[in-house]
Amino acid sequence: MSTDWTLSIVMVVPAAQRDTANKLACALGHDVMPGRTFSVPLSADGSEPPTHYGCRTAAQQSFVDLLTAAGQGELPDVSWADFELTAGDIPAVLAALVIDVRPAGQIDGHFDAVLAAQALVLVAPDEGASVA
Amino acid sequence: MTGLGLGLGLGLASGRASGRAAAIPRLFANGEQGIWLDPSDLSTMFQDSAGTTPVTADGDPVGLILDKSGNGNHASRSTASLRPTYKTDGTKHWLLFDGADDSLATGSIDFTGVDKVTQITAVEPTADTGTAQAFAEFSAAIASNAGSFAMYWDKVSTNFNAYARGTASPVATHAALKSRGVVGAALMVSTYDISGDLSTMRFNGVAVAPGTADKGSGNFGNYPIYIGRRGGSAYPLSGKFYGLIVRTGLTADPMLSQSERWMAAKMGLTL
Repeated sequence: MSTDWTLSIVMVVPAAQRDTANKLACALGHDVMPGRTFSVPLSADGSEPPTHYGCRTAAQQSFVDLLTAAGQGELPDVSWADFELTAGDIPAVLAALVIDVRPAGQIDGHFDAVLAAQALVLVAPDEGASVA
Repeated sequence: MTGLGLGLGLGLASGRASGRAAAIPRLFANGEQGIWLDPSDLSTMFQDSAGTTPVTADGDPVGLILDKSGNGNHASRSTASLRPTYKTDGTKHWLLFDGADDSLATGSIDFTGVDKVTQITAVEPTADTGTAQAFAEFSAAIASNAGSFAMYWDKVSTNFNAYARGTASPVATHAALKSRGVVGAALMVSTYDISGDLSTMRFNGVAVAPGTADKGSGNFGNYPIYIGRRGGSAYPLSGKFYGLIVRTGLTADPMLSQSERWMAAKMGLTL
């Protein structure tokens, strides 16, 4: 049996758009409200505050097609208000969203490669050098 | 579901390995609290956290993996983008965590009646990413929560650590395999004893120096176990997860070594 999850997708969104992007992920059926799809804090040098948030996920072609169509102005038939959104919120998020799609077999290093291309790194947790 | 899973395991195993497999249910035969996650048992995994769409193929996301200990401590992730991926090479089976945001978490597991716990974690990090990689941690962060334990790799020290604490700070309470890069098989078998101020660990079958610093007092807590990412938010694992067993009590040989060999076989590790 083969999987339908044939793609790996990395997305990065500016911090100012994070909340709307998380709600959009919920509206597209990829998360549940309040949404935490964009959960990885990022900045240029790893220091606070995060300037961007990212995610990596397995995806089906249908999800990528949905994003592509939305980016071209063809929004899906969604009750945006159910997700605390309006149709007018979507274009700005999609315009700011960095999307990188690769075959699922290329998961290893996918997230880091996109971060490098965007000159971003993970924001280090507050605990300092030692985990404990 | 469990019946099918056991059938698959026995079918692939030699007679000796069958004995090892039988050792795992015995860990929980007397109602011990704990968890047993086994990615080699497809019948226990679902693509969604609600458990409606089964995992059937290499590459499927895992939103729910059922606890085989009988305690109902299933691990799940409701956000699709945060789910690890089921992978197999036809012999071995694992969950692939992407080093970015994948993780699983259980509901709270009540260990408040005990101050002695055994933890077995089998992982194989495949990339040296991040400042640490959290494999399995009881509570959102051991530094902040009394009565917690954790296994992870720390880049500063290049140590594989097995921490446990009561009321005291966890610093210096750990057993550690020191100075090894993160990439490669890591089968960590530990017992934790708060009142005995002891953390032991066998790493890939070899005993390392125990942690004997004061752990403070009290019992373990009532927290979720986070797998693959601290608190679901930091120190992501980049690599393979072959399984997790946690149970109350200081598991002794031969049961501990049988469980260790069972897990080693699952990850293709020769002890």
